[in-house]
Amino acid sequence: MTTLPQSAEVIVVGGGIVGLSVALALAEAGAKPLLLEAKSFGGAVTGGSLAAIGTHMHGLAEYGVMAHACDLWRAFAERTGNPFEHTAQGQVGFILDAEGMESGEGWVAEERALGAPCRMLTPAGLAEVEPRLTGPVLGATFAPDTATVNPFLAARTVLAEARAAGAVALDHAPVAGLLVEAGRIAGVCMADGAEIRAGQVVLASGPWSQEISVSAGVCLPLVPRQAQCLAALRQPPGTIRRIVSAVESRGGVASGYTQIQQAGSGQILFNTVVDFIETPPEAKDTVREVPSGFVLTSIDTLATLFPSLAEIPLLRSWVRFEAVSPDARFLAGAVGPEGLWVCAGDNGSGYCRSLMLGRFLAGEIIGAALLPGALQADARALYAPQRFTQVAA
Amino acid sequence: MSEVEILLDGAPVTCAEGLPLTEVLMARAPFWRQSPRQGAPRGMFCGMGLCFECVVVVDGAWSRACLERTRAGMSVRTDQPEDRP
Amino acid sequence: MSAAHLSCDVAVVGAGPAGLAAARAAAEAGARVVCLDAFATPGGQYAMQPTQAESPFAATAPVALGRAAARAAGEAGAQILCGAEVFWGACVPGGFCLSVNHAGRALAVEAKALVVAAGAMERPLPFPGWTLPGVIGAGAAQRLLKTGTGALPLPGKTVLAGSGPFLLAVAQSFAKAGQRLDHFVEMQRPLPADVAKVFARHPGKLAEAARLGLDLRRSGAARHVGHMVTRALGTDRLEAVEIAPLSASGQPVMGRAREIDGVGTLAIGYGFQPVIDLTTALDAAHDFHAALGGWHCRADADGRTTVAGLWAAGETLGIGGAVPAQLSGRIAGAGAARTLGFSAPDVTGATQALGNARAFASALAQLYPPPQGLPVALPEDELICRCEDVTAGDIATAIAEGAHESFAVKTWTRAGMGPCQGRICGAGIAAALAQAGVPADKASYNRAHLPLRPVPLPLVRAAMQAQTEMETRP
Repeated sequence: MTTLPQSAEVIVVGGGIVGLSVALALAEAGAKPLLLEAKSFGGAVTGGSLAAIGTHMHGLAEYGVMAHACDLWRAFAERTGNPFEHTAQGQVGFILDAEGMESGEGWVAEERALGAPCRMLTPAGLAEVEPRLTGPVLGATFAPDTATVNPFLAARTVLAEARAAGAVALDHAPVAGLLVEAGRIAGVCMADGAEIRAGQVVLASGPWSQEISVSAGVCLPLVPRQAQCLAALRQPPGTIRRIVSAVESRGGVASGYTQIQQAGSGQILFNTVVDFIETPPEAKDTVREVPSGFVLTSIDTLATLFPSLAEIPLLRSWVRFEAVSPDARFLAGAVGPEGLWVCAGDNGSGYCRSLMLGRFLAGEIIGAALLPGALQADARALYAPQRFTQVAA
Repeated sequence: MSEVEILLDGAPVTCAEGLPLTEVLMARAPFWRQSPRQGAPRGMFCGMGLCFECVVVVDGAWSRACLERTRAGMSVRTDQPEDRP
Repeated sequence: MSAAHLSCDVAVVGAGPAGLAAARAAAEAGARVVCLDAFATPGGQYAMQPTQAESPFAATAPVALGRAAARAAGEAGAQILCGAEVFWGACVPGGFCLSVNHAGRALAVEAKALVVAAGAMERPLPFPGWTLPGVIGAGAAQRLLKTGTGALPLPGKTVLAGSGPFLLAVAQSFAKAGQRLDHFVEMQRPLPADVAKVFARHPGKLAEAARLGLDLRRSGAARHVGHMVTRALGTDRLEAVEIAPLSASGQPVMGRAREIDGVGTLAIGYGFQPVIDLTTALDAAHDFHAALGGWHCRADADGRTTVAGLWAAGETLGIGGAVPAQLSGRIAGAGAARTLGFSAPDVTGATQALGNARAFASALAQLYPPPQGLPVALPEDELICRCEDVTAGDIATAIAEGAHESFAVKTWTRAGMGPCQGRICGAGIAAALAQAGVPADKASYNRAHLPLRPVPLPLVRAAMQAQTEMETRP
């Protein structure tokens, strides 16, 4: 709501948790980032997130950087006085059948080998960990260190810290395209036609990144995917103690997805997706409503697992759009013309990685390793946009 | 006027039939709920089903008192089994 | 639980003056009509039906009008369902599916066309002490008087305050009910010349206005015109009310403030706002006009919204009172039926009358402009969001840090995340944003999502099952 500057050292496009984290890391590293958010900070993908912070069931390849990502959140909460409800309540992966049991045991064995504190729970053990989960489960995985944050307040805190470190962040400042001169990035073009010059531009606009990158001749393999959630009326504290999720089948594409948790406000958040629905690219620009079939499966899953909650009142629902990449991993690094960077492709679980990715990318931009040990190189290998041929084209 | 007996937090109360339940509740006390974070006393405010300040449990169901009409034998609880931090 | 199912040509949401007129017009054209209302009897706020046979309101004109309108709609063939709260509406192939909480049971209504006549709600503006038990809406007081025993249930003095012609109608209800009104506090002081001008143009309204004025004087209430309530005082309940005169610039003169003690009930209202949850959920376009109560559904002269098959009538289109509501209901009901191929009655007369009725409503709104800012500056610890206990200070800080629209204020403070879903705090948040330089059209509104009102999961499930069937039917 201030007048736009005419130039900046680095521009970060997107004021979700990823863009804010990049701006924070850049500012802390001494760069002077200018962050431009099209609408309100953390109002799109970020705000619709359930913001789980943990390594459980995220795959072995990313385990090291994810573990560090969790450490960064813990340290950030400590440093800021935790105004964003960072709570390590633990995660339960419920198991309904033999196949799920095999998956769960597989996850736990592999993660334990890497030093994770997760373990298997028998139904009796689960009754102690999650007393009101009385549905027909065979057992569960349990990751006691998985945490959640309040997604809105965490974004607000990262914003405040970034500003305190010297970043300038503007809301309702939509970027329409990129300026490229002599083969390198020269700045951004705003929706109202104004230009802001910068030698470095980071696209952290989630499912909108692709639309902006095409103006620099870059095609990012990111597509929007609709995701949604329901919230039931406030219940007494401790009604649901952990993050309750389905055990994902290992190795394959997720065939179903469930997450149920009690927010700090007491409201019960729950969602079950059986089939990911086809999402037209323009859907992300309209206000969408939850599909009726999704409401049915979500209510049925909640009622099956938590019969005592089967009749509580529904309060609210919302839809958000995740940026999905072909291999379900972020794109973070240099892309296209010199000076252009991307940090997008949350695949529905970007919150956990955001602080880590911010530091990784800021390090790449300023030419320093901001992640400890081998992690900077690990992240470069994991998230290199060049792994997709479309990007180079 | 036909009179009915309702159960208010377990105690029988006699009142006219068909009255807004809020009238009966307010006649007993101006508030029967506490706000979620400050625990401040709250009673009916909008009276037309939109503010949810007058919520009670009627025959086991979460209900807005302002939309309920008194009827014989209805059981009303104001002790908030839900909606509390 | 599975949902009961009703199928019709035209569904009408709201059985107030607009909804009943729409239902009747569509039914007279031959359409199968279902008219739904959340309250126990038809009539809406204006023609609210008493519950007690011996009520002094039983024979009043609005009550008779409501009864007659419901009877006429019923005789024309419309099915009127009361205690039927619409908690969701969706476009399905061939029309709309309404999800309804019908006295605790799920009901799915399938309709080829939909007329939303959801009416108005109070536009509560927070002021110091407004959450104390005993402080109620002016409309809430009227509802208690009309549908209850006629005596307000809280002991102590009664104060009726706020702004606008509706306050006079509530004062009249006090008189009619035989309930003592101790103080009447009206913020505005319209110039007699302006008042005369309005009634010179609308002489037919003079008798009603004179009666309202007379009834206020007869009520015996101490009248404080050009005054406002600056504080409600008490510990766990309302005990006293502080009022102060307004300066020429509209600010309360605190040096001349006085306290009214021994107060049991403060009924306060600063006008109304359109109920737009269903029309926003169905993605119709909305516009902002302060004189029409803020955000209202956009429609053409026939009541057609920007969504095909969706019509709006009454105060969903902007605050205007019962007469324009009735007329616009008749027009929209006829239009909806005609579009479906029924031979609807000619409504040219109603269209002409509607122009005149709206002109009167807008002249009244000029005499009593709805205050847009907060009437009194709020201390930091005063609440704006009652559901989630969010203070004025929380909201001011969020705005200063970059929450520059209602939605952003909600996400950073929880204001509007509770059971009322922003209906009650919306005007207060808009006022706080306006104070920080964000105009109302930029502040926007929080669009409604499933469910429009909190509703038990088994009902949601049953209704969504029915909606799925309509969506996937070959």
